[in-house]
Amino acid sequence: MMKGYGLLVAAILALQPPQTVFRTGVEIVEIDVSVMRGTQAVQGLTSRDFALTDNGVTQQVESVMLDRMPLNVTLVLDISRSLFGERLAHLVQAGETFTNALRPDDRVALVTFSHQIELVVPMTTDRQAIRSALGHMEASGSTALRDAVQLAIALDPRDRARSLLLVFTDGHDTVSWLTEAAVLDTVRRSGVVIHAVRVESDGFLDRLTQAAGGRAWSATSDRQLRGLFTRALDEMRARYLLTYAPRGVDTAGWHSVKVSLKNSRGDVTARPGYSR
Amino acid sequence: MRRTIVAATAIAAFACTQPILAQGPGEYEHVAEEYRVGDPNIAIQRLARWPEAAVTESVRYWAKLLRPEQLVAAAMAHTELAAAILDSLPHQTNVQLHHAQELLDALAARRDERERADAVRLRWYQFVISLFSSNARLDDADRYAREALGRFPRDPVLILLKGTILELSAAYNVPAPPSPTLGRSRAPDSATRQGRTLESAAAEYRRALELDPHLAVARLRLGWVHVLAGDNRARDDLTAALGDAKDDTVRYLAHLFLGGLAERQSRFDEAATEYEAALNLGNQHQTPFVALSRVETARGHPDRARELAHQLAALERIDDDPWWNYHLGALDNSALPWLRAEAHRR
Repeated sequence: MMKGYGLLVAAILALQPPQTVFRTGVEIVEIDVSVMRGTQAVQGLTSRDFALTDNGVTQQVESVMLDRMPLNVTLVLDISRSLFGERLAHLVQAGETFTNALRPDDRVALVTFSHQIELVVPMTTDRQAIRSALGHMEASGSTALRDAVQLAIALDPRDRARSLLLVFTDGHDTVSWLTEAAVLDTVRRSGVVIHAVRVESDGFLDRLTQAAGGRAWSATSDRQLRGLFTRALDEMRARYLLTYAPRGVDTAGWHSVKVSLKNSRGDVTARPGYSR
Repeated sequence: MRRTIVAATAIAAFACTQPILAQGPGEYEHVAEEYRVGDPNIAIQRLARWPEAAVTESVRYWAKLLRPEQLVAAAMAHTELAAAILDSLPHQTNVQLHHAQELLDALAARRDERERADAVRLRWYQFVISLFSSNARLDDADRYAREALGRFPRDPVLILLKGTILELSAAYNVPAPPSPTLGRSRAPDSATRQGRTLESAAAEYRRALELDPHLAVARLRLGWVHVLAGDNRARDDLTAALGDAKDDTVRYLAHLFLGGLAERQSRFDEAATEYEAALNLGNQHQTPFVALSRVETARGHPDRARELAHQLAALERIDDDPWWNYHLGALDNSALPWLRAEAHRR
């Protein structure tokens, strides 16, 4: 959605893709939106198809882009001791399949976490570096999921590519310093969309992805990981980037945003708002 | 990260796979001497090969014959073997600890050795309780803590350890070990249970502080429990812990916890100051970087948050952070060297 604190000013807009509309000195809000009908992404929508309110005030959606901007994807992968064995092998396969399906101008980073968080490969277009790092992952230790999400968001390059986190975990946080409230606040302040694939049910991931306008998928077996990683990438590709210049909502603080469809059927997923 | 016990995995594997060797009549004494003046790891490995019946027989026989320092050495060989096999052969762990206790009983029965036996037994309990706590075996830890408090009811460190077991129960959100004095009633919900367990932990820390008002770790833990409970006394406790701290680990955690308190109260500037202090004391640890990165985000400094994240990513870290040990439990790192030294002492 919004980059940084959500205020995009004209000075940094020279690099914008042509379909995005910006005006000098005007704040522009970007909302990253997914529209699904069942398991299929709904395509071909235009600005006229979306209704959007900011703190309850109807806004004029100025542009809708079926997104062709490159992706900055950070894979945030749990390698705690419960991954030991076959599950880790399936995770490596899923990561490799995901990496192979990226487009040439997409970039990807690899963050792993147990109790210790590591930026294993910084944001790169070098697929081989990612594949090699995936192959060297070893499972051990406890789980610092919340701390890892915070670090991955902080590491996001915040350039004009679309920032996405794909988080995988098979358990619950056991050792993070940060509270859930702190991490969700960071998410609301950032523009990063977060998807999650999990093996066990974890309420935090539901709240995390909901706050970040993403989705959470649950695997009932390790063999499903590859398919779910692929679905996550498909979902990332099929998103719309709505932009609007907020009108009638000048207050600082949290802005609640609601997006719906006017003329089509589909489930809209977007982050619930932004901090200004 | 957590277990620093001697060559635990190797010994456990050795115990499982090696053939049983015949033991001569003096072999058990040799094991005790090897532990005492030779290589403790070799002594533990030799002991690991013995069949249970032979060990039981040897302990009974040699408990009457070994010199006091040999009794301590033998007790510690059994104890360290128990620690080494805790993951792989948990049912054998308590057998080995039982042998250690038999040997300590024998030491206590000797003329003029009662004082030494008590000192050794107290540190031994502290070590064993921490061993089980750090492996999330809280019921076992609690059992030994109760037993120890039966012998040393006014020892502040044991009372502190009892509180630690309760605090860990709350962190894992598992039911606290059952109290023999409480009747059965309807199980409370998870949050209520967690709150009650933390209250019980706080009560133990207060008891420990009544006996030793400058026990910094108890003050630190009481302060953190108060942070979690939203109790206004947290700040005073943590500041006092900082004043009483005798090592940088306590100071590091006290600053971290003061930062956590300020952060929970949305006093982000103060939180950043405390986290910076923690970072200065532990600039190889992960947690201050994570905490500061988060607070800088909240303060509206995303570039600084990113810089901290990159600093952490570039860091050559050791696999250690006192926060992890605090939160998950850790071995009592002072007890083991003390006990080993006691085995060497004539």
